[in-house]
Amino acid sequence: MLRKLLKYDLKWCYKPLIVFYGLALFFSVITRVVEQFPESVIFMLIDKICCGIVIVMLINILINNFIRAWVRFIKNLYKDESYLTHTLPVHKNTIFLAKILTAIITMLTSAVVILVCLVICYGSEENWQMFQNFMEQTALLFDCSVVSFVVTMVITLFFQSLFVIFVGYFGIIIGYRANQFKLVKSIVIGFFAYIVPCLLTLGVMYGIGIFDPEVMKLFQSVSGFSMKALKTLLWSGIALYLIYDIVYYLLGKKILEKGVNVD
Amino acid sequence: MPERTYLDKEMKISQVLQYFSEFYTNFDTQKALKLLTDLNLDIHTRIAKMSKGMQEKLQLILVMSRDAKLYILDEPLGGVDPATRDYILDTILSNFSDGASVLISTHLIADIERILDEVIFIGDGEVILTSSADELRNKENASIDEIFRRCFKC
Repeated sequence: MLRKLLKYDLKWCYKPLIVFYGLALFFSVITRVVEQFPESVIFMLIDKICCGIVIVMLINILINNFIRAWVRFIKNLYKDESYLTHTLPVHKNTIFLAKILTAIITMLTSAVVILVCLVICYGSEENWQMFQNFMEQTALLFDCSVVSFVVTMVITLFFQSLFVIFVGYFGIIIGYRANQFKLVKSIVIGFFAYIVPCLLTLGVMYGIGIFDPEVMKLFQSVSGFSMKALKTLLWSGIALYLIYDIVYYLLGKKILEKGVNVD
Repeated sequence: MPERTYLDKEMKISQVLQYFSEFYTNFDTQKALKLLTDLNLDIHTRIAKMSKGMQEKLQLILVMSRDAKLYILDEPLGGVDPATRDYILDTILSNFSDGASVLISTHLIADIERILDEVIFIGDGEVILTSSADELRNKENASIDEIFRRCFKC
């Protein structure tokens, strides 16, 4: 059943995303082609316009990815379509899991498309060399290999994006339990569900700083801090976001199990 | 079957049939296709482009194409013209599974009077009256619609 739910959820989410993917890739190629032409005011202008369109498309993909996942969640679980969703021979947990997996899959494909577009637009030997040097230097500072550094960054971004998705779902689940101003309440609760863990993370970092003077330096000055301290913060951050993700998932699941207040 | 359209309006009828056949093991696609053909509904039509009456009919076809023991229909005649009401009632009568029961919640009593076996009047969330339709008619010497009007007179 999960596969069937995923199929329909993905189809719905990808419908507009595919158009944005296509447009972003198309304008990336155009940008690249225009860059090959001899330098002139007109080509420079076209290049800048195409570059602008690509950036707008990439931001659009990023935002739409989250919005589409949340809108699907609301439509499917609380609006008219919910009468069908809640009478399907599927457990509520499976429906919730399908929504989460859909958001993760679209998020990953969007990340790949964004990366491909950037490579098409700005990929040159010179830029690649610059990027490589930057990565090597940063990895050196973090006292790890480039691969480990990249993997760590990907994991961090993944958990943070997942956190944003969960915060949205959590806000909707709580907000839509009300009888009035459901959307407004969802947004307000989502906002606090985002801010509170962020402040908590800062508090935990400060707590670590009490025992680790290197970490405390990060709170006290803008220079003279060690990479070891930054590394500690990075790993603590990853662990904390993982915890928040699990907590929001379990809370959302539990509240959904109690029943939903459909429109 | 709820009162409102519960289908994804971006879907075509063919996609809805596919959806139902994938999720409900007791869904008879052939029966649904036959009912759709009787209604002259093109399966490539998008739900968003269908009128409210057509959407009602489609929902009813989807429900009646399932081999269930109990069919619960909430206001199946709401918001549709009298001709469509007749079609809906005929579809209900000729398509529910053998031995199954059909529970219809409606305010349009006069329209469904002819198919009633049992009636339950509900007011303020309380059951006001339960009876066999024929017994009630004979006892009160009036139609169910008339009895309902008397019972809930403002």
